Amino acid sequence: MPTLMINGQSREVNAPPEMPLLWALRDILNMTGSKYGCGVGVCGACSVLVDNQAVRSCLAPISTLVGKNITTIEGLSTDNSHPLQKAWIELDVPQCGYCQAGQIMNAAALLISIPKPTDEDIDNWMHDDVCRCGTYQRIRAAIHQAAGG
Amino acid sequence: MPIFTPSTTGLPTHSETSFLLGMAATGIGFVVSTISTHSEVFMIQPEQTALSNEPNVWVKIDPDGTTTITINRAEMGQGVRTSLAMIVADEMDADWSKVKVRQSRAGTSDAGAPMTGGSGSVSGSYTNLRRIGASIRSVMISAAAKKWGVSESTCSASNGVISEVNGSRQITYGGLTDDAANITPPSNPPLKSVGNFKIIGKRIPRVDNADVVSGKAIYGLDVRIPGMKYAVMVRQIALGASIVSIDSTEALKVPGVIRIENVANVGLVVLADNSYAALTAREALKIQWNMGYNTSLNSSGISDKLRAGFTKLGDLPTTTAKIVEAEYQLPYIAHATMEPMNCVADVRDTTAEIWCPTQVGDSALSSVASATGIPAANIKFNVTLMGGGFGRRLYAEYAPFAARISKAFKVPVLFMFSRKDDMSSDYFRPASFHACKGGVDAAGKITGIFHYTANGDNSTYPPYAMPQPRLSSVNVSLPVSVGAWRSVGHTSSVFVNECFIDELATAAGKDPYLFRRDMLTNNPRLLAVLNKAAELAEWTKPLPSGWGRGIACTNAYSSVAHVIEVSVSPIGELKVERIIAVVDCGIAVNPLGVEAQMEGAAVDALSTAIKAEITVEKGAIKQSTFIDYEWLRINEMPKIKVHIMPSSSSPSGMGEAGFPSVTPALCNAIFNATGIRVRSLPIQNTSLSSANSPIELDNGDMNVFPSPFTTSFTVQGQVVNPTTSDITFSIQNMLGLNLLDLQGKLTSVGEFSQTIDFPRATTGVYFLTVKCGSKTITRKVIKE
Repeated sequence: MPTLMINGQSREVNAPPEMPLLWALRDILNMTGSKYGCGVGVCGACSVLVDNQAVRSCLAPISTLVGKNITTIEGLSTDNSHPLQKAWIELDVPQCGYCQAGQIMNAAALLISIPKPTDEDIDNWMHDDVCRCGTYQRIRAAIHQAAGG
Repeated sequence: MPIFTPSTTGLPTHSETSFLLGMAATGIGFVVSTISTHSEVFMIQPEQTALSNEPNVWVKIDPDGTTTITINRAEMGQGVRTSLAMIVADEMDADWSKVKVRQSRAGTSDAGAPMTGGSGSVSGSYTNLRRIGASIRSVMISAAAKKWGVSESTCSASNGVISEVNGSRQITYGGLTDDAANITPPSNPPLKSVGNFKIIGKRIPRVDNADVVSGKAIYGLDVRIPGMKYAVMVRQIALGASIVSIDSTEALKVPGVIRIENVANVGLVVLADNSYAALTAREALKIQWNMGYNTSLNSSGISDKLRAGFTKLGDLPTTTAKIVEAEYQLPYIAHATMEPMNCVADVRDTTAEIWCPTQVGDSALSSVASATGIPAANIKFNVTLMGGGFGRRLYAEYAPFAARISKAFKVPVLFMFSRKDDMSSDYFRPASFHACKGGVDAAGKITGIFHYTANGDNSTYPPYAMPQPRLSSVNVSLPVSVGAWRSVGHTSSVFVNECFIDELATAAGKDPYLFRRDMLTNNPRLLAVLNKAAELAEWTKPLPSGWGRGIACTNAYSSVAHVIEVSVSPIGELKVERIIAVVDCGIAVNPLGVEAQMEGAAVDALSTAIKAEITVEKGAIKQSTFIDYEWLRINEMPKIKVHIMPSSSSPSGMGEAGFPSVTPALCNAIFNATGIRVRSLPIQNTSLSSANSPIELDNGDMNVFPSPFTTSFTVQGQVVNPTTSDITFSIQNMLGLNLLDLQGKLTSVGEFSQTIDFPRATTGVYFLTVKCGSKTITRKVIKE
């Protein structure tokens, strides 16, 4: 039974080691903020941080994550105080909202890597994440705002 | 008349007195009443059942001022939970910071869940919701006046507080709940003048944002109830295919699988402890299929069938100086909501509870009742947030599926479609064929238009003053399920109409904007929108070489015009440079939401215009996920400028209005840039390179074969005066999105040869780029 470090807490996960993190989060730990969109790593709705890198949780077996620090949308802040969460609310980014946890987690990884990204940096980093509602213009603006730009 | 019943389930329980107001809309206006007692909460049921289409909203005010507004239209991203609550809150003079929104359950025990669609929520509810709000304001004023022993005319309401005019007394709505309970609300309260709106017209972020960005928002797939199991089903692998035999030996070995059985009126179902086990076991099933009768059906055959019935169109008047004939084709497109179809069902012997992301809660409740034999009154049907709708969730077949599975296996279940299931068993926007014929006279005026369609829509009348178009249509029977897709028939009719008008403008030798403008003199609202779009786009300002500008407008849902600027490189790379969108939707209840709908609908339209299509191969839907059904990505996203025309008219719908005129404006812009009329979507299937475009050979040259290719091709070429032997190969789509990167080496004489596998992308035009130091060579490659 793998033990994972999720949002700063050690969690025993009663699941087979090959289970992708997405399903362990959603169905075993009842942490449903990370979303199922495609299951094959092409939409980004399941993105989480693993040691501050954006990872598609639908493709990452839990056995590969033991000893690593996992951050999900639930752990980005406890009170929506992360600059990305604040910017997302203020600029009214979400439409249906389903992909936004993944977008925010991927953007969080971007800001860790590039604290003041340009439009081109944002495009290069975020283009693997599908937003079916088409909120891209506001995602771009919100990342700039969160970066203090 | 309303029926007063004690509330047992309708609203959150509370121990202190709250003020509740419900409204039943009847055929003769509306009836409003309120009762609140100290021990028991009452609310009003509409005379008609909740299956009626009338809005039916409850407002609850707690002593601390918390104002809970129940909304019975479903949220799929269109912002309806925010905009409808804003309408009520404004007329109430509520304190918006204290407003909470509650989602009504389907059925008659609550405010119901009538159909959410047709861009009708705001436009259809506007007046009734205002009356509800105004009634509450009136009750609060009466209650304060009575409490203070003053005339109502000396009391005014603002921001959830009643103030005594020329006095110092103030009391919050929360402080008036006891007093308000004894006031009979007026049946016809005065509504505010538009100039007095304080919340309507404000840019208000949507009410669910905080839950969305913290991961707390509950969509259908996020419902977790005690003892719940997870279920998926086997969908047919081709249209009309059926299962001959199943070997579930391996599938049953997957850890967490509980059972694999046929469920009547559903199909073969895998039940498991978690989604992963269910999905994995389903993949492990060995199924022998009877492929059915459609194995020879493919997309080109469908195109042929759609075209087959067309012979010719009628004759134009003798005054016609020039005749234009054109044929247009649109493919099937999928809804591809981010959240696949799903439903949670807990069916017991005589009762059930359902959690479902659906646009049609009331009718889904009826189908669950029929499927389970449990009366609707004994079924608690919760409508969750939807991870996108776009019309897909007007068909809630997944709700009775979930209920039947729960009933059969006697457990609560989350039933879901995988992404592939969701895409292959969609109700697609129909593929259609259109033939148009039109003429202009010597003065450049339209003499007549014919529009024939197979399986498309031509019933949307173009908004122009011209001879009435002569329409004909046929419906070709095909085994592909079709249904409503955002803006429905307008996806085809406005595309064809606005492209064909552009073709007639060209034939008339007229500017496409002025040609439209001169035919809109009797349509001042759309004319103003069109003029504004041209003004904001600086229509007459010259564009750089290789750029083009296109325009289109429509009265679908709201009055909308788009101007789009594109650039097209000599080898056919397309870039959408910017979009100007102008809309007159009457009063914009929430401009932030109106802009969001215009921005999002433009992404839908660009995606389906340029890239996304559903194709059929050997009787099966070929696409399965966002790799082969490609949606616009952030780096393909042009800047969109939305302008909302100021208006005090009643609001019209915005969920769909932003879609229809984008596609024709884009195709018209491509024509302006290249002289190429794209008449078949997606655009990616048409090469936009000018036939005789010069190829820059200073950096080198290369050949690609075979061309077109299916899954791989070989490229051979040479770099002129290379400064390094390291080269990279990359493939971009038509919009420049990089899809593949490979490293390679030059030979000693600067030559290269590489075989490149590119199996996954959809068909169409792509670009191969070879980079060597600062030198770049790009060539078009075509995938079949």
